[in-house]
Amino acid sequence: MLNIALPKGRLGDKVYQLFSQLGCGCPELEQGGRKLVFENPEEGVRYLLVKPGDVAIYVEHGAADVGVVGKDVLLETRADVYELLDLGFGACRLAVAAKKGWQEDLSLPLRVATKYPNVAKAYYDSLSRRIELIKLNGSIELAPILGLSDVIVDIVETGTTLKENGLEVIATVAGSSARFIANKASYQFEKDTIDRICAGMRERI
Amino acid sequence: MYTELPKDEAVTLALQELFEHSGYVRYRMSSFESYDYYLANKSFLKGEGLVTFNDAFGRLLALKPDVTMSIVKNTKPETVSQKLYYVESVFRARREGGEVREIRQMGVESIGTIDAYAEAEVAVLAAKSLAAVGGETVLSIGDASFVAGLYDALGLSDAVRAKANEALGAKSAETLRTLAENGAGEALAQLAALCGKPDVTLERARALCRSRQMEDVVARIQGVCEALAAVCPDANVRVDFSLESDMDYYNGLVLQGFVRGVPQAVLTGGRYDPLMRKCEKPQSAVGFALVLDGLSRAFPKKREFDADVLLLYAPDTPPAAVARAAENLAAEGVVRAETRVPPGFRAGRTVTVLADGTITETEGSPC
Repeated sequence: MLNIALPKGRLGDKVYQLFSQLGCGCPELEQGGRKLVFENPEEGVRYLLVKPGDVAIYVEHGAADVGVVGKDVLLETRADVYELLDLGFGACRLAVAAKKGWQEDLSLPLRVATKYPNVAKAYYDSLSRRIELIKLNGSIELAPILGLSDVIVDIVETGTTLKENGLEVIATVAGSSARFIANKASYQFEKDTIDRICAGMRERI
Repeated sequence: MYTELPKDEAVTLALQELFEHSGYVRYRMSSFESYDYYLANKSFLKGEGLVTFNDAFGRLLALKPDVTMSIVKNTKPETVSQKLYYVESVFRARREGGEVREIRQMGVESIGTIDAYAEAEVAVLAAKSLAAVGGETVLSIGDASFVAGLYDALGLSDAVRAKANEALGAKSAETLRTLAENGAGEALAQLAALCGKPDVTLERARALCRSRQMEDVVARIQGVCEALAAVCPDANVRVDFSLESDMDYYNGLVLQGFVRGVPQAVLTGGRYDPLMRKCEKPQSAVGFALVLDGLSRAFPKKREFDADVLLLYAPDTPPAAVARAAENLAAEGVVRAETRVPPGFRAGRTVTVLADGTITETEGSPC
């Protein structure tokens, strides 16, 4: 039985379609409802619906053999997993944004608000820039507007939310898109199955 | 063997027996070591923190974070050959969260002139160790010098090598492809896919060779695989040139062992001459460690009963009568002697021993 961690939400729906086309469908899952575990013994698959930010953790700890997760989450959690395929969709970038016209004061530590503290710290470490991290869980765009921080490090898709809040991107930290990942031990035991799914996905994206 | 013991303890005993039989001698390390030594060799500890404290004289000590480094430190430069094994706990502070973990591990280190057989011997011990754990296992064999050889041939800079190692550890062919231009990127991507049954994978590895050095590595790995096939024909061996291999640490053979049910590699090791050079030792060295934590979770003891026989006795029963009864019942399996039935206790059958030594069947009620 192959355990597949799917991120709840739009990305998960899209990923499930892909798995389904590869003959790993699960009619029970398509019916919806509040269940979190769906099984199709005939196809030998079990789907786990988890928060997008937790997919890599489930896979790293072997609760799921494979999963699909955004590169942004992988960069943040630094999960020790195989990143077998870039699925291409869910494309966005991790970027630094500030209020329009903001001027950086290099004599002070930079105050950075973000949901991605590890990514932000690694980025500013690479620039040798001293920072003060402010970890937020949502509505990050508010931070510079209210003077809570100088800049934010966050996911930017179209830039509309930034624009509407008077912010602009001042630097790109990394690109991101959905990745097909596998647990390193599971890969040893289920290599043929996982390679087959991976090859099937590669043909369809 | 040792069927009544929890898995990790049974494996400890089985491996001690295996290592002793193979001519390896037990090494015991001190619990505390000077912090300076580990600080000087911090890069070998793979980013995990040390647990440090001061002794009565204010000297900074570290709670043993690594056994191999201690063995290397204690190796005399004039030693021709030493084969050691250990059963030790090491302590590391996790990078995320910083909590201190105790990791129980066993391992072997072969130090001296490491020839083709010496590497094969350690690989065979690794395969036998996995067999002793039981269940479904995989032994993956790679080689850091094959990867380094390809990097050299492609002329990769240090910065690109670091990125390539990271991408290789994640088997991310796409990232590897973007790290170099023209055919070089494709060659790196192929490296990520060099993983599978020995014959096929070594054949594909030969096609990727760009130097005599790489061809020699393939021949050496083939020798290790043949040795494994000769003495461990049932071992599930894979060749994997994309094995995560820290090239500051390993310079040749790399080993990883997996047991179904444990989400990380339980066995890691390889040829670690760079550490020997850093510590100014002239010998070569190869070894592996097997992490015991997690084995008991992967192989839970499923028992229908807490004891096969619950032997009840009155507090004033002569000890000799109870001891004799327990001895006589031992053939039936696990025997537990109690004065009353412990709450929730599941016994195959319950008996009571009387003062005169007579045993009577009891209906599981307290006496």
